[in-house]
Amino acid sequence: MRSHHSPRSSLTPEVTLDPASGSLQITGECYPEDPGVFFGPLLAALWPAPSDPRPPRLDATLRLSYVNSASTMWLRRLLSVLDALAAEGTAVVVSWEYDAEDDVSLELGQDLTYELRNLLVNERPLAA
Amino acid sequence: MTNLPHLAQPGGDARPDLHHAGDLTWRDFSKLVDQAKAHLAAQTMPPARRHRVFSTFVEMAYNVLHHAVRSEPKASEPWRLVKAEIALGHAGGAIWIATTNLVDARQVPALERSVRALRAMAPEELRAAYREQLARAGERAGSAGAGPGGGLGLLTIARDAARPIEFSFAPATADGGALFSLKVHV
Repeated sequence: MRSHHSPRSSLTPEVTLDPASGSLQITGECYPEDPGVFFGPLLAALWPAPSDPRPPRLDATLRLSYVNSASTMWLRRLLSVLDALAAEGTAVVVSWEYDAEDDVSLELGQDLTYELRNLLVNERPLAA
Repeated sequence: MTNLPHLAQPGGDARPDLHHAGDLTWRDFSKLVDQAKAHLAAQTMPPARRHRVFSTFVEMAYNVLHHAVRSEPKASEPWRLVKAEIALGHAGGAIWIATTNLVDARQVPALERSVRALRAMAPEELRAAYREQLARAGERAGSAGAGPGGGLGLLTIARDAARPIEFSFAPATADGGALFSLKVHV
């Protein structure tokens, strides 16, 4: 697993992956022209090389106010990678932070993590 | 470009709040989305409704951008682009989003089957189908054939729709192109 950072833009969220502290933070909106270009490097950084030690813990905090369907597909893939890491022994906690008055965002978090049984998922409503 | 048939209907739909007709590139798409966001931010509505309207607008515009028949590039415009009409308006307490674009006539039967199937599904069936599609799409993200949204786009639109999706196909070009019109009330 490698460090990865991409700054927030009008179309993409800020992403910070810090293996040393065991944290992944994604904050903003996500509807880039090509989600593969945005998510590909993050997925590559996330998956440890065979020789890398597996991190004991990873806290992933996702605060995404809007994600389009093409990016949702990639986000599911990212969560599937986290699920696979958890299956191999990393304690992965996913905190899904959403506007307390926005049930669409709440349902997106539930749908994205549906049947990813190795993840511990916290739903965190945020006051407007 | 042919006007959207439903925009010509009387009864309040004739003056959309946002309207784009003609060439559509990614840059136009970004500008339109920014306009829609600013327009919705100025309206008083619950956050969940604003989310649904914005999502439907983005998905419909994104679908047009990625699935409409593309124009041949010209020397002065080296990118390939689509021609489309996209509008957002309100009527009777509902907000509607409508698109019209050219599709290959060979796509019409499959597209019509998809939209009719979505129209017939209850909300819980739509959510189950969405979850199933998402799980499968997650496995193959980026692979050829999945399409930009892996089929999630229409499901997302159908989940946010407050009424059955309206659609029509009309013959448009001599070589078999068809005009696909879609209208969604949120």
